[in-house]
Amino acid sequence: MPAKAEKSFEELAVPHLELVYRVARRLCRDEHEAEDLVQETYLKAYKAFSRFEMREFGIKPWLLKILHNTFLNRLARERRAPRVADHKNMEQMHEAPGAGSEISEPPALDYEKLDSEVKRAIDQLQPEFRTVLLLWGTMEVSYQEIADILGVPIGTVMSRLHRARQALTRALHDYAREHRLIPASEQ
Amino acid sequence: MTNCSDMQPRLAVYADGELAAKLRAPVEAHLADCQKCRTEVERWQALRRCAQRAIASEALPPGLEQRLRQRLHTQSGTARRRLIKFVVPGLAAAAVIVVAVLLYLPGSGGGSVALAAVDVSAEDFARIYRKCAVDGHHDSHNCRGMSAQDARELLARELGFKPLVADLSAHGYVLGGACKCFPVRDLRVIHVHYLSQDTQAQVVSLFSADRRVRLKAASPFNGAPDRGRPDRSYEVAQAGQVNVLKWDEQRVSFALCSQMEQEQLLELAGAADFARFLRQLPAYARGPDR
Ligand SMILES: [Zn+2]
Ligand SMILES: [Zn+2]
Repeated sequence: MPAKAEKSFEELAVPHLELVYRVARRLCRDEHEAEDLVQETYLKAYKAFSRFEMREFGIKPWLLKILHNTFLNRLARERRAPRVADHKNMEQMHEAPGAGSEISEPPALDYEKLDSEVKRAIDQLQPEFRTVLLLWGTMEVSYQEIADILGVPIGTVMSRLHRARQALTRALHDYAREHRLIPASEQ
Repeated sequence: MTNCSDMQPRLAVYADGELAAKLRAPVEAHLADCQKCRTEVERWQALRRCAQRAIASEALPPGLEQRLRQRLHTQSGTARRRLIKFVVPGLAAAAVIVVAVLLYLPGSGGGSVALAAVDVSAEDFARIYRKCAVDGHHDSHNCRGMSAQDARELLARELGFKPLVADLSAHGYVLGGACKCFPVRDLRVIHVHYLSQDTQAQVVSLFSADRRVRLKAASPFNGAPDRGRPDRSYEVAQAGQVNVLKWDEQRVSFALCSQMEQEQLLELAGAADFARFLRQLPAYARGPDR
């Protein structure tokens, strides 16, 4: 018996709302857009639920897959209707950190500031890198699941993740150096 | 002992617990002897925890779960609504967008006491207009492309009351979406926008509120009274390129907001069929403002 015969869509899918929203939130510019994206994702999932084979995929990656596809559709729609670009290029992430930032005394770790630095860095990634990094960052899905969600080979996931992780590290360079977050190979 | 540089490409993957079993043993053997690489693994893990923290720092918007469940319930058992066939024109095509904000009737607002009026500036309206209509095509109720009638029914199911959705199809406008973004705190609205296939480079909003609105820095609108409704007194204010046209009905207010000429706004305001809608106003919204 597939699990779906025992549990309703709502029972299975709504517990993952927080995860889906958080990923959506970093894919979108603001809360409104993120909520729209989440609602559209769930409605699509709901309509497709009868065709859903839980045993093969699991509802969590399946919801994330629908989220991702919906996001891509919106992106394509937006690109047809150009607007002021707000996603900086990957290249801009590679700028050297400001010179002359000699640190004498490490400041106390300000988690809120760190969070906003990380969010800003994530927001500046190009969508294909951002998506991989976000899914990885949730710690809820494996590489293979990310590959399934995005519909790309696992090798692509790993190379995108490698680049995204390095971009994140660079963007956080100053901050990370103060708090020993940077891998030796990056210094 | 193996070389650190051989280990480098594997450490991040190892840190994620994703290294294939046959590759794991040599890495672990190296890590047992190498402090430098152990530190690197720890740092990759710290980086991931940083990302996790930041991603998890976003709180779920209040009421999202409830809104979602409500929509799922609405979906079940109802036939898919009929969509008007039309292509949503991109802003590049310089479509006209009309945004209407419908009267928001809170479920709890069953009393007969009118809500206190609030001051709203033209800039407050213009901000929502730009954010939701011009930039965002905000549509939290999936109304885009529906007829006014269908949207009214959908919103009635989702909101628990029948809001006004003006039928502006005769003027060339079709629905572009609905949301509840409010221009100022304490003012509740429902926001529906229309798109036109017209190719003029304009964007318009129509707002309705759950109470009277005092439009800041407004002046009475004197132009072309024959095209408006003689029983309404309109006020206008400007925020940069954006015109706001506001009027009151009983104890609530409506406003149109756009880069159109004020006369064009007046025409749309006069066209909206409010009569039937106004009969359905809840008690607190009925009667003259005091
Ligand atoms: Zn080593
Ligand atoms: Zn909105």
